[in-house]
Amino acid sequence: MTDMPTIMILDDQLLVAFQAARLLEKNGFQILGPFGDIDAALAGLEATPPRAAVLDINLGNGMTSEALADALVERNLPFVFYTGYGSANTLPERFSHVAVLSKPVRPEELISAVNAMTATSE
Amino acid sequence: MHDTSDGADRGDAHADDPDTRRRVTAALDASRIGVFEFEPQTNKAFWDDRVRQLWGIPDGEDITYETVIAQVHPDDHALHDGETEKALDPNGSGEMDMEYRVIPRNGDPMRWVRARATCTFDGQVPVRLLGTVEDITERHMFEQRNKVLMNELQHRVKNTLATVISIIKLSADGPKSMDEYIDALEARLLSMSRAHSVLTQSDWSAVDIRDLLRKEFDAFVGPDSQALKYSGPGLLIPAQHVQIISMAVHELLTNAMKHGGLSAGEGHVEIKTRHDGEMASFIWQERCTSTFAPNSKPSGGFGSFLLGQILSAALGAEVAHEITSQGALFRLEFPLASEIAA
Repeated sequence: MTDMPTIMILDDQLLVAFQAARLLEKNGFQILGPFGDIDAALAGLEATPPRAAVLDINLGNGMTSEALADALVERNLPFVFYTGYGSANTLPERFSHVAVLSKPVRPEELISAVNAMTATSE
Repeated sequence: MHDTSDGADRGDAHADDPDTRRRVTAALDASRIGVFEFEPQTNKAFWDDRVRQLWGIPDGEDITYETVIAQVHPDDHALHDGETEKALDPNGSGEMDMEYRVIPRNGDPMRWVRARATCTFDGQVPVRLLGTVEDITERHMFEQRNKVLMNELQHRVKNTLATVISIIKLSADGPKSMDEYIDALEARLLSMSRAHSVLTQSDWSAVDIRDLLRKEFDAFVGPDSQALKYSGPGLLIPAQHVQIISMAVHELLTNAMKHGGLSAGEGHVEIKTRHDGEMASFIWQERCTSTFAPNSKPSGGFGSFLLGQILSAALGAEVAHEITSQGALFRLEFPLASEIAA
């Protein structure tokens, strides 16, 4: 049990976030969160660093997940963006190498993206 | 009959008629369409005042192809050169129609123009390119704005579909039959749709929780019902939380009607709100004459998941949900957005 990699989820659509969490839990992951806002997510990262993360980009009310993405980069932790925007055109240049999953995503796609991150982050 | 020939004569005379010239000039001014002529063999151009204005170039200065291209946005040089070359090709159509950016020399803001022209040839030699230039900046900005709106719409539709998929999956917990599952799912999606209407009416700004409550009670209990007793101040729910709070109200109300305080056809729901500038509280207490086994836990399933973990994470809220002898008691304490007090 203790070997289950922890995946952090940040998404202001909490229904989507909790369903993704359930899916990942069924596939052998533990979940940190899900968090709906950036402050809670930053505090969560501070408390328990995850192995990898799945981040929505736009968190409503003009907020974005960029601060958390920067904090993850700083800690060398992998993450993917999970967004309703069809393209990554709202993303700053420094995240251009980060994979983007387009909402809604097929469950297998989410699982394989998370598997890929946890396989390479050892 | 003689009117017709008369008319034709007058038509011919019109080109030199001062009134006609005045009208043509006024029409071109109003349309902001400029006229140009270019002679490729001599590299000389004629521009009227409007084209000079568009390029920010004073009267009297000679115009050559280099004058034209010097104010064209660098990214549009290749387009401009290519299209001009095509129009001057004696084996081509002799027509030109393109849109590009002009950076006026006099420091005016960049503008978008549409240039259309036709070339006349002497045998294989292009003699004169004659055409119009139109300022299309406004239209272009409108199109850009449309693109942004379409992108935003696409984002919202995708997010909504993702939410619907989540509801479909998460609703599978609890119901005992397919019919029960489908009915609950349909009611949830209809509730989402009502919340969407409220958001559209408010132009995606904050919504008073009383409006959300009223909408759900109207839909399920009826518009004249006395089943809702609200006391305390209104709470303005920021747009991004309207959907989740509306769903929470929906779950509370359907539970109350199915097996809670409103299930016996009488009874009511007491809602008490409070806010102190930092925290808001919302209490839902069902009141009826029947008695329920107190302290029993709310049934598992989508409703209690939503009213517990999901709502708590969405709002950064404290939630408590229990069954009292008169029905459900649900308390929600959440941090106030600055604009929440109605």
